[in-house]
Order: sequence, then C-alpha cells, then structure tokens
Amino acid sequence: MKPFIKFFTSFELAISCMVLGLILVFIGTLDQVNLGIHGAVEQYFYTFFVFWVIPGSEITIPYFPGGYTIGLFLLVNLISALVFRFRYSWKKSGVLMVHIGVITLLVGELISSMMQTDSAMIIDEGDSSNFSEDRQIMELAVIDHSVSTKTDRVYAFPHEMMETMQDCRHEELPFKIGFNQYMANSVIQRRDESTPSRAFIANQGIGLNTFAQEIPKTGKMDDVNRTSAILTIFDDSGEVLGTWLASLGFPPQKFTFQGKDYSLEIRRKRYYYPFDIHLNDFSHDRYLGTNIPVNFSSEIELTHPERGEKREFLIYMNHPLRYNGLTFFQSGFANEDKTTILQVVSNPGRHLPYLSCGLIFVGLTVQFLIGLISFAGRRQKKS
Amino acid sequence: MRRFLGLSLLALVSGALFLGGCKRDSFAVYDVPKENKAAPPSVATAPISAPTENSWIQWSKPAAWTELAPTAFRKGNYFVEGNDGKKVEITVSSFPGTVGGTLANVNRWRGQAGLSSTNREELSQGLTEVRIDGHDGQIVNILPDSDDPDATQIVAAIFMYNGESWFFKMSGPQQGVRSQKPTFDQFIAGLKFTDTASEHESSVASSEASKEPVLAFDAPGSWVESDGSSMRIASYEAPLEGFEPADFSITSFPGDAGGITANVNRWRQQIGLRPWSDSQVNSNQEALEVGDLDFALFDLKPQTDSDKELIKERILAGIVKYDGKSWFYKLRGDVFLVETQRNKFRQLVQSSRFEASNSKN
Repeated sequence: MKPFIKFFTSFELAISCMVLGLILVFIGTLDQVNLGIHGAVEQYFYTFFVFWVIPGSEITIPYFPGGYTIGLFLLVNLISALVFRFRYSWKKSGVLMVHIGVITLLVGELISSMMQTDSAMIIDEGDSSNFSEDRQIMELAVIDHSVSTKTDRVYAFPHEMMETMQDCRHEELPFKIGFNQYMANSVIQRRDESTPSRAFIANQGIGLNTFAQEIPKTGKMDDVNRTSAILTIFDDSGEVLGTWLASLGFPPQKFTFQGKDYSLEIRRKRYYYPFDIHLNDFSHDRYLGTNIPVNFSSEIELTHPERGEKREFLIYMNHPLRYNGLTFFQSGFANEDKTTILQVVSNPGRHLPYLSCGLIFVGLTVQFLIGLISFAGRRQKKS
Repeated sequence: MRRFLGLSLLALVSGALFLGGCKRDSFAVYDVPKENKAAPPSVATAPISAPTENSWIQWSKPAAWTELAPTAFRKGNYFVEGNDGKKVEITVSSFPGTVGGTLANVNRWRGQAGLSSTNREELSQGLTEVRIDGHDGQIVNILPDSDDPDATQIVAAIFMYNGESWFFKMSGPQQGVRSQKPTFDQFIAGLKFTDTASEHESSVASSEASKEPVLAFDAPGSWVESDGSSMRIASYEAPLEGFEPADFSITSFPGDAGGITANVNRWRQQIGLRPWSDSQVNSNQEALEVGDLDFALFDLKPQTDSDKELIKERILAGIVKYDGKSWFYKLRGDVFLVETQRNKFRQLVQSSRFEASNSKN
C-alpha cells in the first residue's frame, strides 16, 4: 500500500501530468487545423488515450495519454496529497485553497465534458419554438402519426444505438428496427450503374433512388457529419417489413403498419423545453453606408405556461439570455435576416470554473499575505 | 480534518462522475404537436402518385372527398368528414400477388376494426361479387358488433388484376361510413380498367407484363398456405406437433437487392446470430443447380455452445437470380423443426421453374 500511496502523492507525478498536459495541448492545438475543434477535442482531450491509426489498416495504437487520463491522474494526485501528505496548519491555508481550487477546476471540466450540451434553436420571425437541435449528436426518430389528431408520438433512439448497431425496440411499437449499416458521415448519391451492390439492400423509401457513400467523419465547425444508416424493420414475428436508407437531411419517410401511419428519420438530437420562445423581430445592424455588421439581435418573448411567465428579452452579441439553467446566445441568422439562430448551451458545471478561479486567487493572496506578514515579523524581530 | 477533507473531495469527484454517468443517452418518448408545415415531397413518394396513365385501374375522386398526398403504400388517399366532424378515410392500394388471400386481408381489416377473425364459410356469406368494367371483384362490408356510432366500419372492394391485388377501402366511424356508402359504391362503379378496350389493343405495359415469367414450384403436401405480408410471393407454414409452425416465404426484389452477404446477414440478424464476413458467407454457401437456375443455399443456425443456449431458431435460405431480379426462399423456425423440414425445403427449391403463364404451384 505504501508504494502505491507514495506514487500517487508524489511531486514527480504532478509535474509529469502537467508536462504531459502541456504537450497534449500543444499537439492537440496543432492538429485542430486538420481535425477541427470538435475533432481535436474528441481525439485528444475527451479521451483516455490518443490513438494512431496504422496507415492502410484499421489497427489503432495508443501512443499518448489523453485528457481524461492526465486529468484523472492529476486529480488523484492532488486529492491523495491532501489526504496523505499535506501538513495542515494555518500557515499553509492558502496552499490548501489553491489545491482545492485546482481540484474544483478539474472536476468542473469533467462535468462539462460529460454533461454539456450545445444545440441550436432556429426560429423564423413571427414563429415560436420549444426545442433546440444538437449540433453534433444525431438520433433516430420513429414518429407515430396515429396517436391523435393533434399530436404525434416520437420515439427517439440515441445515436449510440445506431453507432453500435443495437436493435431499437420499444414496448409500444409493434416492430423493431435493426441496422444493416451505419455511416457516421456520408455523401448521398443518386443510384446509377456505379452504385455498390450493398446499397441495393434498401428496398423502401428514398433508398430506392439514392445511396449513401461513407466518408471520414469531420470535426470542423463549418462542416456537418451527414449520418446515414441502412435499417430494416421487423415485425413482432421477425417478418421483414422493409429496408430503408435514412440520412440526416432526408425528409421523414412514411410507412404504414397495422393500420397506423409512421415515419422515420435520422435527425439532430432534439431537446424539448417546457417553455416557448417567440421571435418578435430579428435585427441585423450594419455600420452606416457599409455591409459590415455592427450588431445582431433577437427580440423574443418567452412564455412558460406552467410558471405563468410571459417575458420579453433582447438577445444580442455578448448579452445572452440565461434561463432555466440554459444560456441562449445570438449565434447566427438566415433567410435574408428573417430567421434567427440561437445557440443553446446547457452546462451544469458552468459555475465551477468561476469558483475554482476565485479559490485559487484567494488562496494565492492568502499565502502571499501569510508570507509577507511572517517576513515582516522576522524583519521586525531582527531590527 | 484530514479525514473530513478526504471524504469531501471523494464526494465531490464521485458526484461529478455520477452526474456524468447520468448523462448516458437512452431513448426518449414524447408527444409533440403535429407539424403543420407541409413536408417536402420525398423521393419515395414521387414514383407512386395519384392515378396516372400508367395505372392499371383508374378512378375519379368524388367531389366531397378531400385528397391527401399519396404515401409509399397508398396510390389513392382521401378523407371525408361526416356531419359530426369525424373523418372517414378512403384509400387505394395495390400489391403484387394475392397478398395472403382474401381471407387474410379481411381478417387484417377485422383486426383494425377490433373484431375477431372470421373463417372461410362466414366470409363467403359476407362477400358480394361485383363486375365492374368487365372485371370481377368482391366487396366486403365489415360491420361493428355494437351500435356505437363511433365503432369502426370498413367497406372494401378487392380486385385481382394484372397479377396485382387492388384494394379500395373505406373505413371510419360507422355513422360516417354508412352515410358515404352510396358515394363509395358510385366510386367503385366508375373504376376503369385501362386495358379493357380490346385484347388486341392491350397496352405495351400489359403485354410486357404478360411476358414476365412467373415462378412456379411444388410445395410439400404437409405445408399449409398461410397469410403473408404484401411483399411475399408465396407463404406457407410447415407444421410439426408440439412446435410453433416454421414459416416459409418467397420474396423477390429487383437487381441483387444488396448482394448475398447483406441479405444473409439480415437473416442472421433476424434470429440473433452474429454477421458473417464475405469469406464466411462464401465458405458456408452451397451451390445447387436446378435446370438453368443457380441457387445459393444457406443453413443459418447457432453453432457455438453459447449461441445454442440463447438462440433456438434456424433459417434455411436459398437465393437465385433470374430475369434481373433476386428471388429469396426462406424457411424459419425452431432448430429441430427446421431440421425435419430440410429435405422438403430442398425438394421445393429443386422443383422451382419459371413459366410464361400465370399458373403457380
């Protein structure tokens, strides 16, 4: 046990983690040119290891610890040091606060990496919305149109089920969906003589005329991963109802089973909210006589029926709306300035970096003052 | 102090990990208001539209009915509102072959109306034979078993024409269906079968259709014809006492329908077996020549001990390409039952031939 504790409480481990972290940030930042922000974050930071793919093969070799590994070792090191090695006294209270501050920072980043969602709410002028769509994550939505005349029932299966090609089933659905192929990113082409034979397995819907060609996943901000899947629907007895090609951007593909109308689509993961946002007006202000933008702003009305709230807000650059644990930033516009795009960020750990920085600042100040007072006392004694 | 701090930090990290763990996505079910915006027309629905010059049967929409966009399976899609505001739905659909037969379809509709299945004798009493534009058809009126005006009633006309089953179906609350019945009868009476002008002047499409080869085979005597989905060309049950009957089907799709590997893996997926690679598919394939037909046969069954524990089903499959289509034969059922039917399956495959006539079996 002692060597174990010695290892995890050592300065060497702390220094090693910091140096490895510096190197990781350096190479991750450089590779961002190739991978884009999201790609670099996934490949270098939100991972336990950085992998190298042997060219011409699918074999991957871990060659460097990823952000999670370095962060966790540093976290364990800091906690172990405080529990087993640290000598508690008032004279070291500042150092203690700095340690806790760094631990809070690491925990905050861990929470953010696991729980933060980043989505977009797109609203036309005069229209309302109560959901936003994730920028990165997709879902397979099966929609039952026969529930009532006013509502549809959505069965949203997460992208993990598509990625791992798990069967999608729900007790209310009289069928299950199995995946024949999953493509994280693809281009859609019309069927012709060059179409690979595998694509012909789709025998229903849009896949009768088109096929998806897999291409490497992108992590760049401006590029979209067009997720596609070839999926087969089986009834309860295992009978094949048909095989469809579903792809991001396809309209919902309708089918009827047991007298009920359904549709299926791959779409961006949707987050629904208990409130509506109505866009009263979108403004795109320019510097006089030029086309250079000076400001984008959305004049919105937020209605929360359960709370009986109805409030107006102006969202503009650097002045987001914070409501219900969500932050709405002015992100973009479209449709000749008639449509606003709001970035909706949910991050339960968003307060922790502020707390952490505060703790580190106060800790350093306290430690400095303790040193200063001690120094002044010694000097006074000498004199 | 030391212990308190250690526990606090441990709680902080555990809390973070717990919160992170909670984020794992699972499926979600929720109701949303119907979208009013018209969905952009999908490529899928484009080829199937309201009656066109190429349709075998053409019809005229009664003025009172409102037309909806056709769907993948509906060639005609209408609704009409009764006096009480409740909707009656009228659909036109067609599928290749007999689609399981009249009894199977009527029982499917009875199921939709919340009624129990009927048998052949009862059905024959409830069917009305009609002759429209020189072609025979049947009309079935499925009445609810209660006087509740909202109980579902279905009236349907069935025509077998040019190798396809055509269904003209009206369904909805019995009060509304009853009020629309005269209009529906006029609608059916106005159907036009497009190649009736003269046998000599039959359309090119029709003459091409008649040249299309028809698959014929000899089904084992012990097998019983069964209800099948619209995609099946043939559907049988292979019974054995003490077992759920094995299910036999023949389907066909244009081209190679994704290739042998994809289809074999789709079947393996159906019974829970892991997919095969191309080389595994090749090595497990048995070639069988039947006249000028080259069948690829597969026996898909659990082979490892762990699979045998979990998977109790087996599929015998045959694939043959003919006339630009892929034809799929499949027998699926209990591992033991399928073993007892192996020779019969093989004999059926060996009896397969393509004939120019419409006779089958």
